[in-house]
Amino acid sequence: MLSVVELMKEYRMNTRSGNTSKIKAVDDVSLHFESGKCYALVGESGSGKSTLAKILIGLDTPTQGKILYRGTDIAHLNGKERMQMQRNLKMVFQNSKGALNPRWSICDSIAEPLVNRHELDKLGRLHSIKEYLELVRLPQTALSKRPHELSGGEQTRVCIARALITEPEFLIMDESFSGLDATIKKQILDLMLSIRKEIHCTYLFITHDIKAALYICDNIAVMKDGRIIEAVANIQSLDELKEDYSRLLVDSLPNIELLVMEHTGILT
Amino acid sequence: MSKEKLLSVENLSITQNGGPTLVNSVSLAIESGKCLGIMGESGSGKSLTCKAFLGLLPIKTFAVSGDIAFCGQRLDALDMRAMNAIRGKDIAIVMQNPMTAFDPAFKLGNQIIETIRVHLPVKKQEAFEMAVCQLEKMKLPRVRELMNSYPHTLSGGMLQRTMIAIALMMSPKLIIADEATTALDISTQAVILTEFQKIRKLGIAMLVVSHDFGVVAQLADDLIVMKNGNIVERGRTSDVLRHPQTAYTRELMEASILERRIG
Amino acid sequence: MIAKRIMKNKQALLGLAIIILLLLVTIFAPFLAPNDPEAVNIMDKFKASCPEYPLGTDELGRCILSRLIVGSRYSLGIAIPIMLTVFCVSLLVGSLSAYLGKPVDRIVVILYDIIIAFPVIVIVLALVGALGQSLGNLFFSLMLALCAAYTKLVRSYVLQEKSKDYIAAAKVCESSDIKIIVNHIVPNIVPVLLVNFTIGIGEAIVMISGFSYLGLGVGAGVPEWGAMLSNAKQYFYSYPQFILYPGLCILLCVVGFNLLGEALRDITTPEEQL
Repeated sequence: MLSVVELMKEYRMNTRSGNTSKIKAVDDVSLHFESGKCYALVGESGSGKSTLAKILIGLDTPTQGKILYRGTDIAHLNGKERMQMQRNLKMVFQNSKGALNPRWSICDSIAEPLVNRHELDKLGRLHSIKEYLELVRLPQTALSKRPHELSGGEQTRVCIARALITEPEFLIMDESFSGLDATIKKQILDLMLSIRKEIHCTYLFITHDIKAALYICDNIAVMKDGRIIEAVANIQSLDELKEDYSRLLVDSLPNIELLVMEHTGILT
Repeated sequence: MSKEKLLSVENLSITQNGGPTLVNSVSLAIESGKCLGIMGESGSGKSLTCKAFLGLLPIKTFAVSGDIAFCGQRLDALDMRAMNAIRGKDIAIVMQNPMTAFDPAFKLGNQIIETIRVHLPVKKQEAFEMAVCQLEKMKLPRVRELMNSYPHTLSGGMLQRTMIAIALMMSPKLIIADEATTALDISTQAVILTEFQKIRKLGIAMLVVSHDFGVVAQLADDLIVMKNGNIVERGRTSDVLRHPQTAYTRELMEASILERRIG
Repeated sequence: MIAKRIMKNKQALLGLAIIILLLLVTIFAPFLAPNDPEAVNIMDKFKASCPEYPLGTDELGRCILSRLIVGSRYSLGIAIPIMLTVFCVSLLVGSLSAYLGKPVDRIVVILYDIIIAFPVIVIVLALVGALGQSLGNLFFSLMLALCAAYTKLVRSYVLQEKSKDYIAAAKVCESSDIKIIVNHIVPNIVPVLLVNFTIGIGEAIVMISGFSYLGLGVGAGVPEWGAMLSNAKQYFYSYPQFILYPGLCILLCVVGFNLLGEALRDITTPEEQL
């Protein structure tokens, strides 16, 4: 459905000595996304995953390479064509609070994509908004509130509702649960698991938390320094990741079951 | 090994002036050489509690009540100077965000030397050598270059290890790690946790505050779970891990483990 | 909603009260003035305060109070329209320039940088000198200088907002550039701009009085406060009140606008940042 072909994004940086150096934020990345499936891109800070996300969603253009959406290259679209495409590609940003206009009510924020589409009248929009609010398990009272009156988890839910309301084919969640508390994070992950069953869409989760990636996805790709180190489809356990860097990430995780056994003296 | 209480806190309550009670009658104790973990999410009051021990809460905003004793000495009764002498030396703190903990305008070396000389009566050159020695002990690469760098040129992991080095140089009795790994990448977190485990082996007492169960479980002998300013569960880490008593603790554990659901 | 917060802030209310008082005086000036401000009565010159001339008369026997009251029309009557025009123009040009980026932005920046390089007085002197001394030319030259300065300010605010996440989110929500500028960026920068412009009105009044003091702008004999100040120089030792009265009027204006402007700074800070 969506293919990334040899994508490359280069930035020019002026170094201290006055020379310009080129940095490849995304280096020769090729990925293929099938309709309806769930993918996770795992990488630490500086791996280029956020840059890749911005290019996929259309907020940035690649230096080289193509993005083929149903056969058409959408990497360098602008103006009207871009707007038409945008319906199908949506993103939930990392900083949910910052992604909402602080002066708009939640209702206006969620309605924005619908208003731009001119497809529904006011009543139709309101009906749709209420429907999606229920989907993300927010109460109707949230509609009249402003972003700062909601908690972090609630703000993330609002952004999810706003992203899904135009029924996109591809949804990217870029580190959308990294700033949240552990229990809230799990709630949002569980929410996404249940939404996956109801809404047919291709999901791409971008995260640094490899455990969360496994929890929510069937297909994991690991990214480092702009390159895809490893990609495993239909993954069942983290042991299936074989590359050195992937093992490093997995081994850095505390193994709670192991810790329990150590603490209780079963393992000495 | 003596079992005297290094840090003893009884009925600590923190209220926002003219506002709600943020920490409600919390009591805890750390024995010398042991590690206590405080688990909680944002708003649980865990960071406020730590700041209260060190007298870091401004009197204008917060009202603190309760008995805080360190090595038998009442901390809440001390004045600023006495508190300053203890803070950083006997009780060291490693904070959450190493990127902002250092002054960006000065080289790392200067900041380390300055901190040493506040607490120890040594000359600049001596302080410099102490710093180099400690950093090398911790196996940090290219130590002299590190001392000569500005904070923004270094990664979070390097800076955090430098913070730990500064803490260790003071030969503290207690090190408080307040969300020390939260702002770091996963692979860097593992490195920092290893450092803390080395510290535990040296016999220095620790207080580890985190919202990540994995971090606390790896380091702490005893564990306290806080929620909305109250302690909801406490006990030895092994007991809590094996048999969490409250639903909230179970929730936290599940959230940290994130066991894969099949289907 | 902003109105409610203004009501709660004492400083804002005081500033607003002063401004409303001044505006009323400006609007109803001809009715409030006890005498004709231009009427020359050589017999009555240098009179002290009395029922007929509440603040006395000047060297030509003109009623000082009447001149002050009518003079408000020049100060406020020029400053406020200028700032309103500058507000609209700089908001339009600044937003478009910052949002659209190169090449429009480059041109705008070069233009305003050139204008800003000269002190306001130099621009006014040059243009009034070239085009002739008149109120209209003073108006025009002041506007040019101020538009450049405020366009720079607006542009910097827009650039700040532009980089925020909710603007990127709005683009993903398929909002067009114009919609983003009008619905997202402008509403979030206008409150802050109000602060700058309110204080700017005070500054404009001082500038206008200053230019009139120097003899630019209004003609001779016109009861403008700055011109009155200039006239009063020669009577500094004999009749110091000639300087005091117009000076106090200018001061009152500036104080009123500054009080309101400073209070607006607190009022317009969004609740979440407090």
